[in-house]
Amino acid sequence: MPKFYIYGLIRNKTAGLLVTSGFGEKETMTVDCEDIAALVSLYEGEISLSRENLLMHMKVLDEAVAKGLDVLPFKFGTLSENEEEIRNLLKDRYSDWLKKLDRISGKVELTVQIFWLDFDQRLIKLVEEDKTVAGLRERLLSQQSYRLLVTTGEVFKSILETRKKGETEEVFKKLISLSSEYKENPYLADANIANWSFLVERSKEKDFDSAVKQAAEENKELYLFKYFGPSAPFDFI
Amino acid sequence: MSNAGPVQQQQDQRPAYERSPITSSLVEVVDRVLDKGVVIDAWAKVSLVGIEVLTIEARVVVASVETYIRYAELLAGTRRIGGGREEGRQALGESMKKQETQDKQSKEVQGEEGGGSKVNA
Repeated sequence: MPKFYIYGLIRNKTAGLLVTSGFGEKETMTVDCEDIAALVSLYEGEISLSRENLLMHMKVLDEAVAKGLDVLPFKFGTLSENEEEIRNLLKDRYSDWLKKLDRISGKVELTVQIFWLDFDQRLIKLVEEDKTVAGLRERLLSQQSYRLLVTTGEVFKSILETRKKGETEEVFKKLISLSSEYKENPYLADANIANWSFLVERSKEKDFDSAVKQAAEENKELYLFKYFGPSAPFDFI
Repeated sequence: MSNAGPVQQQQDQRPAYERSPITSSLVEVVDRVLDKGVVIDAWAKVSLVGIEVLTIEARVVVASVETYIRYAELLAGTRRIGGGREEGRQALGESMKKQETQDKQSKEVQGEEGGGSKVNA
């Protein structure tokens, strides 16, 4: 017996807007309960954690977002035995689902990541400009102890992160002003100085685009901007 | 600018930003579909054995120490372009290297005893 793979929840009235295929090229469909519906497709067998499957989960959600749907994304690998089980899930937590859908209503998630283009040069400059950092480095090279290595690393990490926040503060404020909510995610690498998710009203997406583009153009020599979305609001559920 | 050198020209040609769908980056996809999203516990039928990220307090402390050491090495290696961690290690001397190797070996033993769980630093 095939099971039901759940991609996310949408508003029932928008269900007809999405025609796409999910796993195994099976057409997506909905299982509804009053105003909400689960976006599903039939699934047979075990779900493996393959690149192809992970991308498929996201592809279906991305297509829903592209069609203008509000979609509350589910974690990868959510399977139900039958339609009744899904209806019960929707019914039992109905008001909670509605609240979550209201929060993201008419909004999409946009992700902005900023990277220093030349990390080594940045470090060199920091040592040259900041007396505290230069002192830390000097002490580190003259007195070798494990404890000093750890404490200096901790202080330097904090200084570097303060510097990252300071450099991106202006852009951050501008983007916050164009969004409904935001989330600061952990850094992805040493050279990554910002990793933000924003929940943005669809009507403000163009303004947000322009703001990102302008900030990227103005700082072209120093930073690389990576910009993802629009996508289902994984950071705002 | 007509007098721009090859490096400047290259930089001018680089797009100021890249906008892409999430599906263009597997890292971004994994970050979302495995770590985020609505979870219905009993319905998660996918087997995540082997990649499950466990945050056990003691291990997080160890991971933090490793992070701080990495930053110290970065700081130590900053005088030379392209320096970074390796240069930092050299600058800090062989004795420090030995100390870290011993520490790592001891942690590997602890990891084996503890079932080899991964740590989310």
